[in-house]
Formats: sequence, C-alpha cells, structure tokens
Amino acid sequence: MTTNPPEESGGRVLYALRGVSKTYGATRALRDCSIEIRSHEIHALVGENGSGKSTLVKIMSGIVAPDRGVIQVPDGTERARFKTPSSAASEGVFTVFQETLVAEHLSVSDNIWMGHSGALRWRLPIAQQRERSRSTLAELTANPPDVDQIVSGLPLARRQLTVIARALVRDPRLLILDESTSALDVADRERLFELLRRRRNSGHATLFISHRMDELSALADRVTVLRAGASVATLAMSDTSTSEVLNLAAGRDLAAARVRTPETPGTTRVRAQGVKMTPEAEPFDFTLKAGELVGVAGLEGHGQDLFIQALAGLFNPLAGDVLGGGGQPITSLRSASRQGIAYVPRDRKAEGAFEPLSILENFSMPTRNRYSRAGWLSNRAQVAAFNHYSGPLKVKFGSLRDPITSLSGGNQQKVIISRWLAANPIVVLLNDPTRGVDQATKQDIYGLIDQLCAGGAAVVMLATEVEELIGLADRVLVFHEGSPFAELSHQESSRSTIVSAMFGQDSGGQE
Amino acid sequence: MFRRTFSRPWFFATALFVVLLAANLLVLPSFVSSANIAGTLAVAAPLVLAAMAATPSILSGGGGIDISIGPLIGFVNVFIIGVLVGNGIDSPWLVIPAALAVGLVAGLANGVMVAYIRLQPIVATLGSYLVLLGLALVVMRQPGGSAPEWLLVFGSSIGPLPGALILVALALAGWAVLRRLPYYRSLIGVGSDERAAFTAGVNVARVRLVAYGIGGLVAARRDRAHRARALGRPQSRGVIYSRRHRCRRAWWDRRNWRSGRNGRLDHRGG
Repeated sequence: MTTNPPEESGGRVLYALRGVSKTYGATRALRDCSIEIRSHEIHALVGENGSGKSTLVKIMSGIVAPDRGVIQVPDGTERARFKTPSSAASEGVFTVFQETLVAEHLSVSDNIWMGHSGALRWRLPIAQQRERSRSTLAELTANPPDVDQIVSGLPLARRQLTVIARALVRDPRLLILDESTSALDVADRERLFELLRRRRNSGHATLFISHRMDELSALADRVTVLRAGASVATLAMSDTSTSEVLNLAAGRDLAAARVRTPETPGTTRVRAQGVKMTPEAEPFDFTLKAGELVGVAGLEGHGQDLFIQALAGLFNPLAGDVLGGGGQPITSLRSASRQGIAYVPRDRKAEGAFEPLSILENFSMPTRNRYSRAGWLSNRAQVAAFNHYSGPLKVKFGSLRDPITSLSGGNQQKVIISRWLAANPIVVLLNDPTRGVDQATKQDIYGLIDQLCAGGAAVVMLATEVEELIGLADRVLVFHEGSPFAELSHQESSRSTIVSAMFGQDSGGQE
Repeated sequence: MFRRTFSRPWFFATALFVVLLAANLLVLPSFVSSANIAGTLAVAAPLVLAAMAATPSILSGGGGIDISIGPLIGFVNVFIIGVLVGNGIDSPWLVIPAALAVGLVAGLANGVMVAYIRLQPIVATLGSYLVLLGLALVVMRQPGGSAPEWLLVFGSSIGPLPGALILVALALAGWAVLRRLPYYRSLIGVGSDERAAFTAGVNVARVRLVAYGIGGLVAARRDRAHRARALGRPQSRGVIYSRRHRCRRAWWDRRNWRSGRNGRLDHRGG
C-alpha cells in the first residue's frame, strides 16, 4: 500500500462544484452539493447507490446541466454548466464511466481516439494515434490488446482498458473514474493506480469513485461523502477510517463484513469431469453440492470466467463434460436452465438488462409464461412475483413501469438477480454480482446468498473483490492459466493465499 | 479460418452478389456480354446508387433509415427537366450543382428532423417521402420534357466505358474518400453506440445530420443515372418497390406506347 505524500496532495483548487442541485421529475438527485478538487490530488467520492454520485459525475462531464449552482474551472472563472462532454474535455475534464462505453464496430485504436478529431482533419495522424494507443495500453496492462482489433471481439476487461486509455491519451487535468476499475483484474488495477499516482505527482487531479474501500484507502488523498444527494463531509484519508467513511455514507452503522456460516453440503448438483478451458490448461474435475457456496477467483483471462460460463452452458469446454445433478449434460443455456441452473451475467448492460424495457418486463422476461393465462399476461401476477422475489433485496424504484435504466446500477443488478430467483433455481451462478454496487447493496446480496444456501441451493460466485470470497465462500477455486491452481477451504482463504494463487504462487502464510 | 471469413461484414454481401450473378448468367448467358453490359449497368446503376444513398443514414444508427430517397430522386428529376431545362438552363455546370443542392437540402431537412427534432427516422422520412411526391406533381403534372445531350451518355457509353459505370465509380470514389475522413469513424462510432460516441466527445446530432445530407447528395447523383434511363416520367419520382407501383408503371408504359411517347429517350440517345 502506497502512502500519500503530504507535500504532493492538496494543491490549489482546480475544479469546484458549488451549491449544485439537480432534480429529475420528483426525484432530487443532488441538493446543494459542493466539492472541491485540487491539483496534485486523487479525490475519492463515496456514497451509496442513488446518493447522487452519478449525477455529480454527469454534471462534471457535460452530460446533464445542473438546475442550480456553478462549476469553477482552473482559471478561477465559473460556468453554469459544461454543455457537452466535448466542452468538458476542452475545459480539461474527461470521464471514464461505469459502463464500458465502446463502439463495437471500431478498432481499439479508433475507439481510443473517437471524438478527438474534427470531421475533415485528423488532429493526430493515424499512425501516431495507433502508436500512442499501443504505448498507453502497454502502460495499463502487461498483455495489451492489438490496437487494430475490432472491439466487438474483446472481453469486458479489455474494453474497460480501451475506455480508460481513451481518457488517458487526452491527458485531462481532471480525470474522473466512475467505478471504472471494477472489470480489471488485480494486476491491471495496480498498474492503473501507479499511473494515477504519477499523474498526481505531475499536478493532475483524479476524481475516483469506487465501492472498494481498499482501493480508496490505497489511493485517495481526500474523500467526499455523498448521502441522499448532499455532500456530507470532505475528509483527508489520513485522518479518517474506512468504517467512518462508510458510516457517513450510510448515515447509520453498517454491520461488520459479513461472514457466512457454511452449510453441510448435500447432494451433488453439478459435476465437471476432465474439463479443459483452454488448449494449454490441465483438465480438472469439479463437484458442487447442495447448500454449498463455491467462490471462483483469478486474474482476468485465466479461465475462471470460462469456467462459470461452462457451468451455465454458455461455453463448451475443449475437453470433458459438465453434468447436472441428474447426470444430464449441460451444453447450452437452455439445457442448464432445464436442470434448474440460473446464471447472473457479469456485464449488466450487454448481457443482463433489456434497456428499453421496464423494470417489470425485465424481471419477468424468462418466466413470463407463468404469468399468462390463455395468452394474456397478468400484470397482477407479475407484480406479485416481483414483490415476492425482489423483497429480500430491497429494490428502490419509482414505478415498475419505469425503464430499468431509470434505476441505479445496484438496483438494476437486484432486478436481474430477482429475475433468476423467480425461476426457483437449484444452482445459482453469480458472475461478479457485486460489481459496481455500493456497500449496502452488497450486504443485501450477501444476505440473499445466505438464504439461498440455507434453502438448499448451490451457489458458484465469481468475484473480482477478493475480500468477498474470504468472508462468504465455503471454498475458493483460484484459477491460474486456465485451471484451478488452488482450492482453498473457508479457513485457508485469505487475501494473501488467494492473490498468491492467482499469480501461480504457493502462499507464504496467512495475513 | 472459414469461421473468421464468414463473420466478416463483407462476406454476406459478396456471397449474395456472386450467387445472384451466377443465377442471372444461368438464365441469361448474354447477361454480361459486351453488347449488353452498358444496358445492364444502366439498369443496375440507379439501384446501386440508391442503396449507397440509403447507407449513411443506416450507418448512423438509432433506427436510421431514409425512405424518401426514391421520391427525392424523382423530384430532382422533374426539377431538372421541368424547372431548369424547361427554362433553358441545361449547362452541366449549372444543372449538376443545382441537382446536388436540391438533394443536399432535402437530405439535411431529414437530418434536422431526425437529429435535432428527434422524430423517428421512419416517420420523418415518410413525411419527406409524401412531401417530395407531392412537390414532383406540382412541378410536373405530366411526363415530358427533354434532357440535355450530355446527360444521356450515362445511359449508353462514353468511349469503351458504360456511362453508368462511371457514375457508380464516381460514387465509390467519393465513398473511398469519406472512409479516410475522421467523420467516417465518428459515423461508425455513433452507429455502434451513440452513448459511447457522445461521451467520447462526438457531436452525435451533427454526425447524423451530415449522414442524411450525404444520402441526399448521393440520391441527387443517382438521379443522373435514373434520368438517363427514364426521362421525365412522374412515376419515376420515387421507386416504390411494390406490386401496386409496378402495375401503375406498366399501365403508364402501355399508355405511352399507344400515344407514341415511349422510346423518346432512345431517339434522343441515338
């Protein structure tokens, strides 16, 4: 963990929002909110889902205009708003959003430089664009994607790196990272953090939004806490603690990190025999029993994602078989679904949510036959089912007829999880279910997992946040180079054992 | 290897072209003979250019489509014959810019409705479709008029080259230039993911506006190919690919045949 050099933090004020308010219909997203961001600073922004973080970021990025308040820019003058992201960029502000916003039909390099040139003239020759793309990606990851590759073929983490590179090549005075590290693996995240520290040392500012408190304490100089649309405090990270920040954000004392009591495993729900995820990987076996919660971890691209997809029938292993509890092979999502296996995907935007549809339609999509009589869809039955299955997750919404996009990221995730719970699965596969959701939502999801296991369901959970697996999983499969490098019991799981296994190292001891 | 080739965007279009060409050659072996090629291309060129005119709006995403391309071609046609040539203006230096300007204005009008007023593209361009259809009738209620000699070569040959091929080649050259511009990347970016393009700093509305404008320009150019085939026929204002239209067209051709008006183009071209 790197400490924040005091002489480099807290320069002059570069950007400030003063007295900013924003209302969407009946919802007050921001109320008289203020924040100052200085040069030589990494400034964290913390708040629960729906606390106004996204609205604040959108105002700073030129996507929405505040109803009241002003934005101060580095020359000390004030603006009522940034009209567009392009005008925010010309004021030195560039944002990487929570969603991986890429143009799928363009190459990596074209995505990185999208919006940089005018209509007729390149501001930077194409050859130089490609070279800069290559060098920026090489700074971000040890295994950068080919800059000429079309983005549609890239996994989520590579796309995320592409949008981060898009921001970095602009060299903005204020870089806003809105939950944009959530798809990165540990190694790439560390590289990015080093890069942010170098930016800080050269006088630039970063506004960093993350629900991972370990990231905030490792990186941030100051933190501003938002609650219910208002800025409740700005603190130096060196003068505060993680629990104080979380309690300020929640407005109440949060329970300590949840630790699950393991259930006694029951009958076999899923079996994998001699499966190979990649050509070079060793084949391996896996058994999942009722009541079990198995955690899956690994550096990006080491096979853990393919493994959970194989259990869901979305990926056919190169060798071996995946079988359901009854011995039937799982070769497709449909065959998995028939055997009571539900899969909650990782990329909410691309694989989870039907964006034009309402909250209720999103919920009932895979189970709608249950709510219809003679071809008529019963709204009442859908609402009753929604209330039943989403109840434990406490979804915050205005109307069930609102589009799912009207919800915060965490609440969208809750709707998608509820959708699959409505299918009454016996196996639940969760692919990074707490990505980009706040602490309170995480607690709700953890509680739900507890209930599922206690009810006899088996759960496999892939998590990029190692701490989640330590507290929750009965055992953790850590993937390295396409196969499990280590299987750690609940007692053996610690940050050091899991991270060491991710890098193919035996742990030197527990933390 | 094969799988990668199949997934290429150009594969389907190329395969379809080859299959249809083979089918045509099977039915009519003289389809691409040297005697027929100019006529074949003259028939194909208007369709090729109409497809090219419709492409930018589709690429701009957001359900983009311009169904007013057909009536726009017809309107430019009657505008040239009825308004320009009818008033003695037949110099290519005036006719071509005027035709392109009409196409551009019509395309930009669609672009404004789609990108700024935010009407659904199909609704906006259906409105334009009806307006242009009506305007064509206002300008020229009856078929007739004459086309300048320089225009008719696009229906036959210029030296060894089919005239229509030159028009298509010009459009392709224009497209090749467009592909090298930053605008093209913005266009594909907007079509791929509007939000990604917007947050990256692309002016999404302007990109869409220009896409419809380009469509109008290509449609105006396509008119020269079309006009070289069919002189001043109001029902050619808009190629409506429907049975009803084909019936009406057949009726019109029969009527012209009886009245001796059919084949005017051949006489002039000859």
